[in-house]
Amino acid sequence: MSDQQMIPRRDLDRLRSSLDKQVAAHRKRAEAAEAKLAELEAKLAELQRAKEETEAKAKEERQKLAAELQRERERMAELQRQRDEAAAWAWYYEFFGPGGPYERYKAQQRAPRQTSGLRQSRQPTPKQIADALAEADPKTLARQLVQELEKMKRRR
Amino acid sequence: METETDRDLKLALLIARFRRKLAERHAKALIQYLRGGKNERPTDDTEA
Repeated sequence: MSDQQMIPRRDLDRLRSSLDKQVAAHRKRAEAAEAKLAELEAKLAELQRAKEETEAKAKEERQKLAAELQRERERMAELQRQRDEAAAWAWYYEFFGPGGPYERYKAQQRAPRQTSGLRQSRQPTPKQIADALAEADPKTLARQLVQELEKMKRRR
Repeated sequence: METETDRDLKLALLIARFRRKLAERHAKALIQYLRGGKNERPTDDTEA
């Protein structure tokens, strides 16, 4: 007589029923877990897409900013060039304009020489003017003016 | 998701715009001065 034959039929049925229930419960849990996994995978894919989209947008924004900064720098450089030119003209007019150092210098040259020497000493010498010019604006125009003054000195 | 580079870029742009505006104001004042509308040469604040 085998062991199986010794277990009563009723117990066997109960055991089978219990096992069937357990299998069904496990299957249910497995299905729920699979559904959850699918849901999480979908969510992950969505997040991945959102991340890529955000990164692409950030990259685009960064490129826009860099391009705008470049344009600003170019505008600034152009503006700087115009301002340098305007400042050079302003400086030129201040120097050669009415009441400017050049006019005073020419007037001094035309005026008869003072004998006392006191007044003479107060007037700036061409070198003083040249030095002041070089200090005030060491750019091209200043150099040109210094050269002009040197020429004037030589002509004297 | 702003990185340090983005913040640096934004700051650099902000400074560049500010300096350009100062430079524009200075250029306008210089032109006005050259046209005789102002008695004193405007100072350049952009270098400060």
